[in-house]
Amino acid sequence: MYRFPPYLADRHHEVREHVRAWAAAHPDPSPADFARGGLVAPGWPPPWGLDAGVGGQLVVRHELAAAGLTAPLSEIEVNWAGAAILRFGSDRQRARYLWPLLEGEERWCRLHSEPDAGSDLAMIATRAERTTGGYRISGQKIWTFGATSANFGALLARTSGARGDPDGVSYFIVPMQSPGVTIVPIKDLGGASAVSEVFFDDVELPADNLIGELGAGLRIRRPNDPVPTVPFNAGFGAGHDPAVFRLLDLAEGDDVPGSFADTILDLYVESQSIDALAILDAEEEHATGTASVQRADIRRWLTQEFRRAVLEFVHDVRAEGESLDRRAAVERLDQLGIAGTIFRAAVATVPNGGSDIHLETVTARLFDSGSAVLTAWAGER
Amino acid sequence: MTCERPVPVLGSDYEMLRSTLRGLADDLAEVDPAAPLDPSVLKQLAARDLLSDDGADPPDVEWLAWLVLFEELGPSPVGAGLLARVALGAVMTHLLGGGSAGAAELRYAALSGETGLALAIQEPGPRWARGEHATRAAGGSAPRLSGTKRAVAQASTADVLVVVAADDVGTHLYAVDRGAQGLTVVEAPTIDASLAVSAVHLDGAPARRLSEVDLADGPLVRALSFARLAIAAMCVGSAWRALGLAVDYLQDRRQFGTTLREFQAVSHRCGRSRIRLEQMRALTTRAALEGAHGDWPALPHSAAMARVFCGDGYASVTAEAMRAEGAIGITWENALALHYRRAHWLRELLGGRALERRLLLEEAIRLVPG
Repeated sequence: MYRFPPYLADRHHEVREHVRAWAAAHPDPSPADFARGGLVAPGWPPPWGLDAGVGGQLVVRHELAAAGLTAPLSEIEVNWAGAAILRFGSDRQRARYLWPLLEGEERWCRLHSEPDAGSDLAMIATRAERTTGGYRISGQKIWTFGATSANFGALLARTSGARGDPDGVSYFIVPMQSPGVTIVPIKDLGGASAVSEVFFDDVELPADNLIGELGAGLRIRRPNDPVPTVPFNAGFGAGHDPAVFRLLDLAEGDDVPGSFADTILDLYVESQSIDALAILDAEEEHATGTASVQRADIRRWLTQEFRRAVLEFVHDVRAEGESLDRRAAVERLDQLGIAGTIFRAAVATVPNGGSDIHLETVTARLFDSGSAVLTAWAGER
Repeated sequence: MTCERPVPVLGSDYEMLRSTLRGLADDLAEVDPAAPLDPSVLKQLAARDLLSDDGADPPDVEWLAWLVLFEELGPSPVGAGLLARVALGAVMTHLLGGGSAGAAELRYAALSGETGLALAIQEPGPRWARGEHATRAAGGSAPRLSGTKRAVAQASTADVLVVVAADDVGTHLYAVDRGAQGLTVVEAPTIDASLAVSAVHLDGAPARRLSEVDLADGPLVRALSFARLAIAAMCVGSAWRALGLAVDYLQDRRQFGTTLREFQAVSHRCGRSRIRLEQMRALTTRAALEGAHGDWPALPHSAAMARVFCGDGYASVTAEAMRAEGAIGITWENALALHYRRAHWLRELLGGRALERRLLLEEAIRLVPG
């Protein structure tokens, strides 16, 4: 959203002043500067963050954007691996891992999905056997994003029970350079290799690399609770606004076909509704101290489906833009680097369980029915 | 209704108000929707002190309270009457009247139930929506109005028509009494009998001016934003009812040895509607918060967006609920039939869907950062 609510900025004026003072002191900030300023994970407590709630985190994002800056954000590092260590890790783990993670010195990946445990993580088969000094890992992960560039992985592995037992899965920190780790990139339909298979052949881990309690892995790996972290897809700089604005450039003029303008308006309003959900979160947090869990499921579905729709439409738009002789508008769209990437539309609804999982969760809540998906994904039992 | 309803978001004051209004809605459940609005309903609202009367400049309203009110009472049998008489009538007179004595008097009379007000703002063509009104007032201190207004809600039963018209000094609000010379009210066909609309023809009809400041200097867009928000909130509350009816049905109805909710082809229709409802609620609440915080530059666009999205959303949630219920969903006696007519009718108010969408797109293009 390009017009940030002034009342929200006023409500969190300490945060606003903090960001402004920081920006003035750091005209050309490094990733470490962002981290030390508490701006990579503003929802975390000090010294890493600003203890900002939803509203405060939105103000951070807005103030940075207003200063022409984007924090070096990573959903996987901050909201998943980092949040798990912050909440459940030992003092030693927090001291060792959190600053390099926030400063971007050490990259992380999530070692969650397996060939037979995709959305249903209770089916995990990768084993962590107890050894005298720690654990020995054997098994296979798949669809691991960023594995080839990661220093560490946050690994879900079975420490007890049979496949299907959610309470036998534990959470580990794995150095990706460990002997026995083999990374095999998967080429996707666009020719890119963002995700990989990761094989573990008797990989030895020190006992210290267990995060939290044994058997608590599936609860620990869920982020955002109780630290109210604004999801990176919550609008306000999620990366889709620029595309929508460039589409609006194309919609101007009497020669634009009505169906074309209709779709652009629909996409614009959808994107605005995602921003408005964040406003609702902030207001609810202001009034009651916490934001709705249900809205989180809803947002996951909306953002994934919205991204798919935008990418599909951008593909159609280029040809239309040419025929309407809107070369300038098409070029500005191309500068966003999303034109010609129709295959990304196919990928958009796959991550984090897939959008159908979120629709199932929303539906199960609506009918108050004991769906297995709701149990696994929303932690409700 | 057993279906999950919105969780609290606005704080305890508003949740108390919501709870009170739900009680009132239950009491009013058996009212004939086609009957005129009972003054006792208005007295109960007046007791809630919903209209601020502090002489604020510009005149203001309790935006969030009205949001809750139309979410909760909009779907009730008095919803259409409240929309026409209170939101479009009394509150818009308040917002357009600029705090003048004449406007205040009419508003009080309307809210006490003594006087039925109807707002005449829409005209043929799109120009009125950009603030250019073809209806003219002439004659100085004894003004007479000439022109045509369209889609005036409950005009045929109104005691006083409140008319937006251009004059020599700008755009102002005028009052025309029922039966005035040169006034002709022609009721239009409707698909929602509880919300009848009429064309109003003015041919030198005697009028009195209510506003002091030029409506173009803010009151017009603010008042239209309020009307759009009231309609949007009514759509949100009504869509919740429609979805709740379908959810209840799917929990009860059994086929193939189990309840219909076990079939995802049917239940996911409701899941999609649930998502849409959250979007509807987010857009209306965002706009109401902007009103509550006096964020006037942002409000018009947000309110217009909420209205457009919620108009379509109500229609779509209702249509999905009907499909989830199968054949029983399309019967006259099913409450969804009322929702279906209401949803499609609400989209037609204030110029209709196509015009609202065109204006929204124009404004979105204008607001694009460079």
